[in-house]
Amino acid sequence: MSQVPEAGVASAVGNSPNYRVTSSNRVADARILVVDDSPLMLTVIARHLRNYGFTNISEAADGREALAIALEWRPDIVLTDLIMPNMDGFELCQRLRGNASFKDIPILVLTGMDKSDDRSAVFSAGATDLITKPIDRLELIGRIRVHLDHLYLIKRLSEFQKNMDQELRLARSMQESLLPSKAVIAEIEAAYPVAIGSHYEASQGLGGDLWGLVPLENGKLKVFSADFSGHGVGSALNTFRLHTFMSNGTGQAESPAAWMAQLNEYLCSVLPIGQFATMFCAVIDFDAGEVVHASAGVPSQLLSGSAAHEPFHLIDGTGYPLGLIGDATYEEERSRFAPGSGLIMYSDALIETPDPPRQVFTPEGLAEFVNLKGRDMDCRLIPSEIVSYLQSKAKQKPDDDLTIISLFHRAANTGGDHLQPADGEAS
Amino acid sequence: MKLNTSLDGNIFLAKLSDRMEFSDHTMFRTLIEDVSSSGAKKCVFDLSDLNSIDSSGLGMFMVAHDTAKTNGWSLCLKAPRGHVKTLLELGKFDKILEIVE
Repeated sequence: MSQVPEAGVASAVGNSPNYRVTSSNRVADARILVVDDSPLMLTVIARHLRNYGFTNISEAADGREALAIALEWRPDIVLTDLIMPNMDGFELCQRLRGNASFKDIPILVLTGMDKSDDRSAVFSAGATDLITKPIDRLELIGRIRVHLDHLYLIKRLSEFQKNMDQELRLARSMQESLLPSKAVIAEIEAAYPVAIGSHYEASQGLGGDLWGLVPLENGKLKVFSADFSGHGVGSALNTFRLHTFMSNGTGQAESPAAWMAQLNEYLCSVLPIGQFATMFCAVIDFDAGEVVHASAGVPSQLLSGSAAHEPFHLIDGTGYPLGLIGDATYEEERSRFAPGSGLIMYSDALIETPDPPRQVFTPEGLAEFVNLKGRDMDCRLIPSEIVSYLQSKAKQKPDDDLTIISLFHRAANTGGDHLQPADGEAS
Repeated sequence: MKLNTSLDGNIFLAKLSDRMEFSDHTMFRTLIEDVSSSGAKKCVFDLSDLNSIDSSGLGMFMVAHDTAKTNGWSLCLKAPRGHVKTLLELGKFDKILEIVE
């Protein structure tokens, strides 16, 4: 191999195989713009680069020419001298940095300056790195490689992040399709004397909360909410497991307690130790005017026997979370659920934001809030009203997935969006 | 979560304070391995300074419970209070794990 002339270039060890880029390496295709007013230096540097495997090299005699080439050719990296006619290396750095397309491009300045003030000025102008003259060819190649590797790593990471964002968006829409849609809720509201409001928000895009409405054959309506331990992707996958099991026909007992026992047995068989789901389930019998409910380790949910005359009270949520012990059984409680009655279900994020003991809502405080505010408004808006209050007081988003459901028994012939107390005594 | 540990004869004492959550998983796994390799017969998790816990935190105690069974030690949760105590009771964890005042 012919030796390159040594004009201003310190002698270096021969072409180390470690430094040579190969055609299989993306770095070899990098577009390198070399800027120097000395034709000899340009020739020397370009020949070094070619010798070490780089193939895409363009040359400019000053900053002005470099800028024109950069705009047209979009280099991946720029090597520039400092002192040049027309436009010097400082201005070239500043102009490149002033263009959004080049804000991240590595600019390596070749300089004989060795005072620290001078070097600082080069960095202030926007240079990424300095290479001191006389140039050591291995240092030159090594630094170019480091900066290109870094550039490509950042590009790969941002591509990865972009793909991941797209994947998560798709997964989020898939997960939201597990929840009752507006159309499904409208159908239920047409078939049953109910008004339903809901709020669902995953803390990390994907979440571990699931809720649903299941029409039963005998005119009853089942409503449930479940909350898997943890949050994020793992918990979200568990919501798919549970939803699939609920839909496939084997896990469809009518009574809340028997259903939970079925779900528990299934989850015990699929969940690893340490993962579980808390759950609340109610079956409403509109003809009989009653609700039967069961709990698996949820915070106390809210129930009012009759919206007009009885404030919301707490119903005990104690019970083995699903997936912990295989032979768990669950207890049912029966309550009156007449026209005007309401049920408010929520996941624990509501009473754990911010972290206890600084939380905005306790179950008791939530009941008080709903009794004061919720009675004279469209009951479908209760979840969003609770969320607005939470946000205004907590000044932070919940760390966990948040679900709130309001379900009211409206009188069959009222059309019943509003469930105002007849005499205003609720407050 | 903050963690302080000591070994007194056959008893491994782990004092957990502040908040125990999802991100403490790795630390807790290491703790459980340390208990297993210490040869202790019992691990007492002192929760008296633990202000809050999330569902992942509760799950970690179940993992500890399982590991303990496999490795021949037992565990007990000591002096949970406030939010932590409420959650342990809500999920009937007191029926699965030994909890003492």
